[in-house]
Amino acid sequence: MTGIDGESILVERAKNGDHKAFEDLIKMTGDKIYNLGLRLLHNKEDAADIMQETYIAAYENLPKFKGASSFSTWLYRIATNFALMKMRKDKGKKVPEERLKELSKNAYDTAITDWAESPVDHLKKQELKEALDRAIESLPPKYRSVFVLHDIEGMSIAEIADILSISQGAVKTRAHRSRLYLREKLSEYFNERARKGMMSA
Amino acid sequence: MNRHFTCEDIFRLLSGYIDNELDTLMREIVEEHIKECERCLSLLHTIEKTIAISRETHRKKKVPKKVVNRVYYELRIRYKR
Repeated sequence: MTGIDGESILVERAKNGDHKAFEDLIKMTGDKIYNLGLRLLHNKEDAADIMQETYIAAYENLPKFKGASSFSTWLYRIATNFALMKMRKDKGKKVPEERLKELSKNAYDTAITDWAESPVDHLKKQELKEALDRAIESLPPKYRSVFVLHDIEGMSIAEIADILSISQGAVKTRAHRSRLYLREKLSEYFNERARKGMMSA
Repeated sequence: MNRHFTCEDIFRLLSGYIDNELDTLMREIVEEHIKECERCLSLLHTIEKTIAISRETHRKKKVPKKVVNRVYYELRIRYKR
């Protein structure tokens, strides 16, 4: 049984006390929720915790689930909220929101290097991922969640607005600012790499 | 057509352009502008590449079996199922 229809049937069965149906729902959606946790928190233990908290909350609140959105979207909402709580506890240094606002006003005013065609070999991929993850972690939680849901999970503006209970305009603004900030951080990474490459040449 | 659109204006439209959220007219305005403006074109390319790298470096992983089993176990213990 696959797809949204299969999901709705399992949800109905689970609501009627069929434990096996709830376990099947976990099987069906588990990868999505685990990956969402990993992508938001960059840590396997935290992703496992998010998964556990999400399904326990979903199980407890199943009678309240009315099917206004799909079961998966409902799970995403629960998981994102748990992840946001964890992110807010993290005292790591965050880029001030003012800086993100400034960037979206002034980025066109700075020198732009087009590094889009820069090659990334296998060995450098991990280094690049670490640089990018550090940058994503330095985004304030409300920006980080939008960036991950939109640009990594591939969700639409409308879906994210629904999941985070914010306006579509707010989603667009946060997505734009996050992209500009991460673009700037990757520019720094590629410029630094080019500089080191020139020095060792 | 885009005589009145500055780089600053175009810059604000780039995310909408990438997300296919612009109407036909605004899309054409961006396309006309980036044909002639290397700076805005570079900005567009590097924003697109930032998104591509983000996806590429966060590929989907399979949830470990022990993590799923822990969830089943927790549900059984808590709710005596």
